[in-house]
Amino acid sequence: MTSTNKSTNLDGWNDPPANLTLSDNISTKRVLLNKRVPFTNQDLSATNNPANVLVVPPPSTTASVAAATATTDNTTSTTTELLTIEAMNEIFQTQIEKLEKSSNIEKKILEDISKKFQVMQDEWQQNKLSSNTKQTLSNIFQELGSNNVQEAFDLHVLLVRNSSSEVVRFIVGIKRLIQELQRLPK
Amino acid sequence: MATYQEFFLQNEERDGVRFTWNMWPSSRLETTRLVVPLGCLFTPLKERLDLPAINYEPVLCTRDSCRAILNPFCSVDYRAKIWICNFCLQRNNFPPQYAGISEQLTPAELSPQFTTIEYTLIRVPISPAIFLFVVDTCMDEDDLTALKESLQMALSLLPTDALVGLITFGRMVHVHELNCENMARSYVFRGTKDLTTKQVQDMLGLAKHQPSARSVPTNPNVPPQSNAFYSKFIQPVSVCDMSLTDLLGELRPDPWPVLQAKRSLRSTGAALSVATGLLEALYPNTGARLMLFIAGPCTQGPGMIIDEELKHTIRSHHDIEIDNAKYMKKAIRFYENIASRASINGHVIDLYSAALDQTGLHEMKYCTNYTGGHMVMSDSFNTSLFKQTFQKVFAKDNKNDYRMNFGATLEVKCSREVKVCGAIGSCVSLAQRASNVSETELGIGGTNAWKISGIYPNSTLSLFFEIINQQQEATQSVPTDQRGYVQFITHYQHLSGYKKLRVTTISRNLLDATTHLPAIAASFDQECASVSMARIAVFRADTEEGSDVLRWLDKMLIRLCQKFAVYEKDNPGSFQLTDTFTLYPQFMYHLRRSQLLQVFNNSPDESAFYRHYLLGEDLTQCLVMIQPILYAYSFNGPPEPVLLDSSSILPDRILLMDTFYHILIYHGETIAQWIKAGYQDLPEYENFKQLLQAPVGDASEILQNRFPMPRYVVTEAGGSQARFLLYKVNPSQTHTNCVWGQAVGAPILTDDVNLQTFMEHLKKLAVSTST
Repeated sequence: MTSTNKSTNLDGWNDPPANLTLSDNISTKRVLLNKRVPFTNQDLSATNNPANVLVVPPPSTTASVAAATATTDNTTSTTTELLTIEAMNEIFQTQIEKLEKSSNIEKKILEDISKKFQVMQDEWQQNKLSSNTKQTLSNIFQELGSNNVQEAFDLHVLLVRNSSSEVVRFIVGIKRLIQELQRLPK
Repeated sequence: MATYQEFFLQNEERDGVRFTWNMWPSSRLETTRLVVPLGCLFTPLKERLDLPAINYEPVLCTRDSCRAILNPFCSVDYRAKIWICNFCLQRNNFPPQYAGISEQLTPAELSPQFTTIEYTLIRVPISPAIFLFVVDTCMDEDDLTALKESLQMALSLLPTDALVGLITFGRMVHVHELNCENMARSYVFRGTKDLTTKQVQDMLGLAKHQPSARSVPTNPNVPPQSNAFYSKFIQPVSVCDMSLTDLLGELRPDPWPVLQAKRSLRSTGAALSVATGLLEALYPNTGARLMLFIAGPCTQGPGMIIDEELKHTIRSHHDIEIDNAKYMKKAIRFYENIASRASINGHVIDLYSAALDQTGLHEMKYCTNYTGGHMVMSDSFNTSLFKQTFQKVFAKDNKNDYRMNFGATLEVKCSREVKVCGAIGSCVSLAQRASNVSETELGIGGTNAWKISGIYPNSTLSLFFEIINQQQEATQSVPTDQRGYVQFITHYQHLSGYKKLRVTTISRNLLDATTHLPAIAASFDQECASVSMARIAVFRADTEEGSDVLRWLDKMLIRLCQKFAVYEKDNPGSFQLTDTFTLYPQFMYHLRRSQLLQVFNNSPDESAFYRHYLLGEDLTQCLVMIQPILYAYSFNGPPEPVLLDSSSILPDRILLMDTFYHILIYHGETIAQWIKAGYQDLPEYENFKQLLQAPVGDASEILQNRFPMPRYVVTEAGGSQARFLLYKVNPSQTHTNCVWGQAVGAPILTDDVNLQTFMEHLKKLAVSTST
């Protein structure tokens, strides 16, 4: 039996679709489907005439079906161009130097951040990251390059929510980098 | 407003309150004669986007035994700057800062649209929240890897000023030191011993921590600089996130070998004991979240659910009935004790259970039910159900604030005609005796204040009230403009760094029931009554036999029909219910058959899981649990709700059923054949593809906003998973009463009584003079 929204290998029995993009916000306000039909005592047998059962579905031109509410799209991909890994490395080095100059941060933390960035670089070059992840990482570094640290942070949270298994090995380094940059006096 | 239905919805929208009866009788006897108790479903932190920001302290009534808060129902003398408390009729002076008020310039708390209002108490310092991960390591490599990834992801989603800690357990319990240089260190406890807080404190060398007042962060993502002392076991996530990520990455499955035909030795109880003791010693009375991840039942030490022999199976409902559950009572006592200790301190215990067999949720449910924690039951940590549910724990609302809040206390004030009988929900009693506490208890009673350690925007409590007789009742008739008032005061700790205070004040008319019964009957909210009765039934099911609870429920239904239906004695054909009552028997019918009360085919753990959510969710979601929603999609028209009945299962339809715990998409026989033939891939049958996508889209909407993630089932006519649908629908067509060949819908193979037969019996019993 083909199912239209079954996802891939990792699913357990009767799991929700793994490709569902979870937004950061949950709202309890809108409940779409909440109507019930009251039970009446009338005979229920005459609702559908079996002789009317269609053998093939009605073709597109004749029937009209109420449009479905669309599934939420993955909104992480933007139309900005993808940075190369070398360009990202340059931006990263600039940011690290900025942090080194300020005397607040321990050397060990900077080393750890650099190590995690190295892991990310390796994974990028070995093609282990999906295109969406690469695009988001590129956007994060572009924002860092233009000093929009808050936007970089929001993008990183999106990345964690949607592609956690891909980025888990290095994302904490990027998060720490962004947070230390946020702490720098303006 | 035109109808009562609109009145209910408006009140729910504005105040988060639904009452079972919206006109109140004026005497105690008449209230009990109404059968359905006078009560309400109250959502303390109802999502309101339009509340004004009030940053000053609330004005309280000066009478010591009252202390109600200024609200729109108080009479105000603007000239003399005096307000009269509507609860105790005390005259109070306004504080000096209210000198400028007038009829034209009223403060928000007196405005009639703000019967619900929120104060932010900026002068009360609070410490950041603590998140303590307690992780079972007795699972296979894949599961543990998936769990580690989820925990590492969680570190990025925590509030930036949060404190974290890690305890892992298997045969031994390890309390890990964080951020230590050179090598990882942990303190190891035997898994077989129970420890008191003092022992934990001594063994770990903990000094009592004084929570320091922290400055409010200007940028919510930047953790504040602080020189406060932190214990080596619990540290700010901003300081130890990298080392903790590495530490988590290096976790391995429990090294102790598991012998043939035996279970892993798992010391869940000891780990919980150590964790609770650690939090109690370091952070009493502060918001903290103890997140327990388990992959199987506790097999040694305190709180043991089952021993290590696989040939001894975990207790089923049948075992509990015949008293064959050897470890159950002791385990329940242990976990209840842990739960009480945690809830007194405002600590929340979450249970994330991932195993194919039972893990002991039936005994451990007190941990989540007393503290307002989450209970998540999945098959494995390596499933999207667990991963997505866990992500949602850290979800934020529309204002970008975390949905979780801590340390809430709810206090109820009433006018003199009303008393509080008790509450049912994820809370504990604060044992606060006051003049408005009734002697009759219903639910958690004997108090007018409860503690809800973990509270969310959809957390809903059931509160029950009693009307007491007023002195003039015997001789004079009650004046028709008498009103009863109830005020709900909720203090809670918000993760933005402030303590907040939500005040909701409501009022309803009191009527003499002997002369105004039709008016009171017309004010009946059948949806609220169904959920209230369901909660009472589930509350009773914890201590009483299942069959007794069902008998009680039936008796209440018959008595309600006898009181409010229109009929001639001994003439079932004349029985009629007014509009306000028609849905109620239907809800009761479905409630009786639901997994909340029917334990057949469910394990005790599953029953505990289903009941946990009934006690915490708001009215609409609870109704879905009682009577699932069924929508039909077909070429015959737009998607429409259909009867939850076997006659709705037709071959040329797609059905979407939402039971809260399951989302099910069912393809009728014809639809399934078309799918098999591949029509959805042909360009000229684009509309068929859209029809297939329609329920999936709606299901996705539900999945986005529901916690926990429900199971998602896509099935078809004759499919094995279709049993979820067939089990829920009213079996109006069964193998006994359908005529083959003329069957409409799918006949259900069951001996269950259907709704039609149930209603016939109900009518017969209601009209009978001998019942």
